[in-house]
Amino acid sequence: MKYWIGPDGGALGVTAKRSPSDPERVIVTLGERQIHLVARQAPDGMLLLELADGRHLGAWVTRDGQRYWVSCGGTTVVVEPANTESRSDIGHGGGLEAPMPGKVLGIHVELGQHVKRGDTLLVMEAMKMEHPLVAPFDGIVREIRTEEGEMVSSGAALVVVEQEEG
Amino acid sequence: MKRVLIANRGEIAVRVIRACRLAGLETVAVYSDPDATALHVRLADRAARLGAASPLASYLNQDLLLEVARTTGADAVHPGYGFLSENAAFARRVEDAGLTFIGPTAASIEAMGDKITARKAMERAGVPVVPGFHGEATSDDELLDEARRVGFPLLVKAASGGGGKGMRAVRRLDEFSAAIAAARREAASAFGDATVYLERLLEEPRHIEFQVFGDQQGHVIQLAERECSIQRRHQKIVEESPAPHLSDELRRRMGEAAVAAAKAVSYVGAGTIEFLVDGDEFYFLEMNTRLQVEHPVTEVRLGVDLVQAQLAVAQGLPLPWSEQQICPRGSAIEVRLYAEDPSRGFLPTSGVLRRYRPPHGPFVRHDGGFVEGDEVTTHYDPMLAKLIVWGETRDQAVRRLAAALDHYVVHGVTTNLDFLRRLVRHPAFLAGQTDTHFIDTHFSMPYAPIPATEEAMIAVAVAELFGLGATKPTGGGEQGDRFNPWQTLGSWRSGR
Repeated sequence: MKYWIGPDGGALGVTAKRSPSDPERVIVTLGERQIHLVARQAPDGMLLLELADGRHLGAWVTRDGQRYWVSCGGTTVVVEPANTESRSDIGHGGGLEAPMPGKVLGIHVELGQHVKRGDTLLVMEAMKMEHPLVAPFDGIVREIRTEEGEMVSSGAALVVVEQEEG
Repeated sequence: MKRVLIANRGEIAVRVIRACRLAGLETVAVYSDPDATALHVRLADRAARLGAASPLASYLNQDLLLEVARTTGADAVHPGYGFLSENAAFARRVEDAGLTFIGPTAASIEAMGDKITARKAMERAGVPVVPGFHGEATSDDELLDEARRVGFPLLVKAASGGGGKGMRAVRRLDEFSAAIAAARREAASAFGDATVYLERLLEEPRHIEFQVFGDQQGHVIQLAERECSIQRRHQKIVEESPAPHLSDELRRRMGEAAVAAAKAVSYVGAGTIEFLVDGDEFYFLEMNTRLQVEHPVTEVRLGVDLVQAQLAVAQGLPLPWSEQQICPRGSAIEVRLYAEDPSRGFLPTSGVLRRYRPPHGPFVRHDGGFVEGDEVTTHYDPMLAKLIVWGETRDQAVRRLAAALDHYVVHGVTTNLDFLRRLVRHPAFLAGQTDTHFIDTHFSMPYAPIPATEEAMIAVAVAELFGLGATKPTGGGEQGDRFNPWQTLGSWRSGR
């Protein structure tokens, strides 16, 4: 079960599975509710969803790091992972991302280094201010995907920290 | 004129390149490093690198532009809008190099560039200006006396200003001294000129401008108005023609004043006279001595191609139309798509356009400068594109615009798209109640972004089930297969 920030701003557990009897039928679980629908992907990437209540939706869904951009029914929304979930994602190999576009001023860790929660991993400059990026938990630096002086865009994965057990 | 260098980027460079091709003229695009594969570069016959991303190293670098014009054999320069389009020194250097500057003369740019000189010229030409004081630089005490005469509320404005910099609203006499000092400081740092002037503050003005056009034979005509009142941070976001609720009598008087204003500076080429309208009175605000961002509004409603006319006039041909031949029909509306975050005070955003699908349909025009996959940086103006629609009536145009915006897909970069969708459905907009405070009056700030919808959550669940957007290729792995659509489709379906 993955958790996303739902319509009311709180975390909402969301899963989907195929109907065992008909592969075009999908059962989506939103929190406590189950929604039955027919889902197809058009060759150009658009998702076509036929809901049981007769509604027919065309949705453009684009993955952008840990989040999704979704356009359907005349709105565009960003569906973000709920906080708890996104942290465990990082722990399981996700990237620590730039919170805003800016410049990487300095990298304070090395590959393979053990870090404690709250340790500064790197420092970014944006809007003429410095912003430290800190380790969200104790772990090991597995990847550094940027270098000093690089201009990075918002959401760019910069450092991957693997969470240490216990 | 055979080969035109376009000293600009983004949608306006694209617009001018297409016009040149139609006119049988060759084109030279210029680019900064991040723009090396941009749309305007792809469309031009030739392309030349200017320099690094910073505008001073690229699109504002006059030496480089003139050098590129020389080495590529260009015999004319189109400046677009922004950048060097209203820089008289650049226009003069282009002419001195023996090239054609596609725009007004340097003297016209200079005459309208200094706001104080422009106001005096307008007064002489009988064009109404906002009551105020725009005398020679005087002491703060003398300005205070003039402020009493103009009356409060008033605006302190920078003589060399624009975009709201060096501007202060003063509502009471005792706020005046501090406002003057602040305006001078801002003007000095932004424009290198601390000269300020005073103007009566109109409380609920509308911003209505007239398209004008002059040729080298001395003809000047006006091509109807554009209503541009809806602005945020002193930047326009919606423009339309005709202006709603503008009486024929006022429209006629304004049109005549617009022509008189352009004639006063012997204007050649495309220009815009901006007016403030307050009740039945109108006042000259400024002249933009260039093609405007919102020129398609006029093109769509009048059925004219203003860039073609610019190219013709620059070659010494007379205007392709007389004022009698101009027949406005129906209603045209433009909205500007900006890379900006309405929930953070409309601050510019950046990122990669992971998906970009402009809408299509009858009477829907998209003027854009970006394609899917392009990176939007904060080095340049955050405008991504313009969407222009036409309708037989304003009501039809508004409904067409709302439907088109609903089908606009922009992912990866935060934009004002949803803000525009709400704006064009607002009852006050539907009623044509546009004034310069429209957004402050009708939208509470900070603007709240639309929360995730149930439909969006369902779509995300299905996308995850289908493995949509998974980046790791599952099969092949050979370089040659990467762009095979069947291969791509196969990997998307691998989650089944």
